[in-house]
Parts: sequence; C-alpha cells; structure tokens
Amino acid sequence: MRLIDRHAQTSRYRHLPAAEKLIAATGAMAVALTAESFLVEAAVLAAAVALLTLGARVGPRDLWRAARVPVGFVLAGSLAQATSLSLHGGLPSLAWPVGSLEPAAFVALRSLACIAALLGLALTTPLADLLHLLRRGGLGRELGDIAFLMLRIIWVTLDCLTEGLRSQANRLGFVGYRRSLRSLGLLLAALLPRTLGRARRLETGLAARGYDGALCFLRQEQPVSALRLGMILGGLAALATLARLGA
Amino acid sequence: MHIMEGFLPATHCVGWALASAPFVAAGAVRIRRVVRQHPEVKLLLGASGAYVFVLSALKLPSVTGSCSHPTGTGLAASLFGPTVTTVLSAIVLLFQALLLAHGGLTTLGANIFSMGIVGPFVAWGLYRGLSAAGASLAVAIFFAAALGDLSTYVVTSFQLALAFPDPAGGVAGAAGKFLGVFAVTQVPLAISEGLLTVVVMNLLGKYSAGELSALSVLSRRSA
Repeated sequence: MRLIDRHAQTSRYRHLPAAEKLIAATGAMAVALTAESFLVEAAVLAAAVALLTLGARVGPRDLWRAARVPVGFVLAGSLAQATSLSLHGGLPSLAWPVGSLEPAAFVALRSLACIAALLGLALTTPLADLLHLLRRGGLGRELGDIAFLMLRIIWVTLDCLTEGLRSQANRLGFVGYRRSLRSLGLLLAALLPRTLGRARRLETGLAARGYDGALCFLRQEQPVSALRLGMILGGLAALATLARLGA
Repeated sequence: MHIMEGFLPATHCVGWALASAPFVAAGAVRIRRVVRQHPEVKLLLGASGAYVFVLSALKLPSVTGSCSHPTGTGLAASLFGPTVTTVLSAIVLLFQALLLAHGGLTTLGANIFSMGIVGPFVAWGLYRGLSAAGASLAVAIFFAAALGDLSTYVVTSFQLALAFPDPAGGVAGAAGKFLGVFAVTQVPLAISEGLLTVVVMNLLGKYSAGELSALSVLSRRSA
C-alpha cells in the first residue's frame, strides 16, 4: 500500500516540479494511445522503465511489486480479447481466431507502456504536489481541500485498519468465512466513528488556529526549468515523430 | 474492478470522460453549496473520502476461497448519498491510480462511470426502492451493496466489450467473454460485500447513531 508513496517521497526526482513530470507522463501516455506501431509502444515502455530504474533508481523488485496488479489485469483482459466466443451447437465454446493474437498483443503492449508512464509519475511525485497542481489548474478550493484532507487522513486510518486486522488475526478472527466477515464488519463499523472523530478533532484544532476555510501546506519544489521542459518536449516530439513514421 | 491504464482506445477514454463529467460536476456543485453553508462539512467529507478509500483497499474473503477488494459503493451510497459518493469515488479513483497504480489517468472517466456513477446509483435506487416496498433494512442493504458491486462489474465488462468487440459475436459476444473471465471472482465477491455491508450497517445503527446522524446531513442535502 505504501510502496509507491514511499518511493515518491524519497525519489531522486522528488523536488523536480510536478508540472514537468505530469507533462512527461501524460505526453508519453498520449503518444502510446495514439500510436499504431509496436515499435513506438516498446520505445515508450523502454524509456519509462529506463528513467525509473536508472534515473529515479527504483529497484526492479519494487517496480514489479508496484506493477504486478495492473499487469495481471492486462494479461487477463488480453486473453479475453484474443479468444472468440462461439455458440455453435447451443453450447458456448472458446476459440483462437486467426489473426486475433496480434491486436491483443498490441493492446497489451500499449497498456504496459501507459502503466510504465503512470508509474514514472507516481513513483517520483508525491500526491500532495499533484493536488497543488490540480488546485492551481482550477479544481476549486472546496474540492481541493477535501482531496487534501482525504490524503492526510488516509494514512492514519490505514494505520488503525492495519492494527485492527493484526489484533483480530491474533485472536483467530479470520478462521473461517463467517468469522472473517464478522471481524471485518466489526472493524469497519469501529473505523467510521474513529475517522469522523479524527475529523472533528482536526476541525477543533484548525478553529483554534484561526481557520477561515482555506488550508495551507508547505511545499518543497524547484521552479520549472526551461531547459528541462525543452528536453521533455523534445523527447515527446521524437516519440511522436516515430509514431507518425511508423503509421 | 478497474480498467487499467492504456487498456482503452483514446476515443473511448474521451467518450467515457465526457459521459462522467456532468455527474461529477453536478456532485461538485452540490458539495460546494453544502460546504459554503456548513464549512465544518468539509472535514466530514475529507474523513468520509478517506474511509471510502480504506474500505476499497480492504481484502475481502470470497466464498470461492480467494480474496479481493470490495468497491464500497453500496456502503458509501447508503451513508453519503449517490451524488456525494460520485465525487468521493472520483477522488478515490484518482488516488488509487496514483498511490496504487490501480486504474489509471486515461481510464479515469470509464472507471468513474462504472464505480462512481452506475454502482452508487444502482445501490441507492435499490436501497430506497426495497425500503419503500417494505423489505427489512438487512435485505435492502444486502441487495443494494451486492447488486451495486455487480452492476459496476457488468458495466466494466460492457465498456471493455464496446472497445474490443468479438470478431464473430460482436459486442454481445465480447461482453459474454469479459463477464465470464471476471465472474469467477466478482460474483462471490459481490455476495461477500453484500453480507459485509449488512454487518457494518447493523453495528453502526446499534453503536454509532450519532455518527449516522452527522452523515445524514450529507445524504439529505446532496442525494
């Protein structure tokens, strides 16, 4: 759960402007989504993985742990896409139609390239920096504040959940299906008043500090560099050119 | 069940984002109105959103012996109302993409449509309908949570089928394939989520009446 956030907070690229990293990631995704060649998808995937492992120094093991759930979905989805459902004789049966493997493999590679670009952003940029960017971009003060509050409360709520799960497991609370459901139900029912109580205490604390409806947070971010931005846009332009030539 | 980053074609990503935008905008306008009238609700909403995120991160035992994550749409819609749940789900899905790499930025619109709009509205409609028809609270909550979860999964399968129609069976054939692939885990999971939501609501009703009363401000004003 905390793997991606831990990397984002300690990454070598942590202090680079979130705007630059967002442009790089979404630009790479846009190129991957609009390209029609395997070569471009492979180039986006390779560039994102190289930046993450060699640039941001994310270990291959951690990269795999962050990517394994989406990769599993992509494999299951591509398998369904590659097969064909037949209802001959009244009974449904699966077949491998000729030529179905290539489009399924292309979608899988495109998705892997986009997942790598997403991880390039997520593993190097704390979510709070991206929320600041969204708020500046017109998310609105109310929604921005709610999103910030959610982010602050999530981690302490997760701590409560983890401790509760450990206590219940130690008391054999997860032996059998019925007991597991009851244990989880008890935990969730206990968690809601605790979470709301925390929000009330936060409200009291803020009110004591002159809260006027605006939440302020400290930021540690370098200013946007024209050179870095030029390099990012140049790299994206090169990938887009490759996509046009390949099409 | 999230559609992962890059899995849908660009036109579908744009289409689903456009389809979800009015619902999210309507929810955001209502939340803004409630927050301006009652500033303290902002903290309540932040805490509620964190609860929904944690709920969706919980591993739920399935009757098949495996385990997976609940959507939390049934419980959230029952507690906060469907329009507030849509906005909270949109933020939760964004967080899941950026903190867990589940879902994605390009597929955010499609995921909001299935998990933040269809799931909560189906759950809310069933909860209200069954309660009005005289069903007990437990029955109404069970069907709302289980079918809210199941509707999310059915919509996701149709989203995938629209993007990748079967060469022989068309969209219907592809929907059958995707429903079949994911049914193994999702149908037992929906039953488990329904049962879990009944347990949680019973306990909340018994021991946390004050908190439920505070949350009714959200559901009454924004449903």
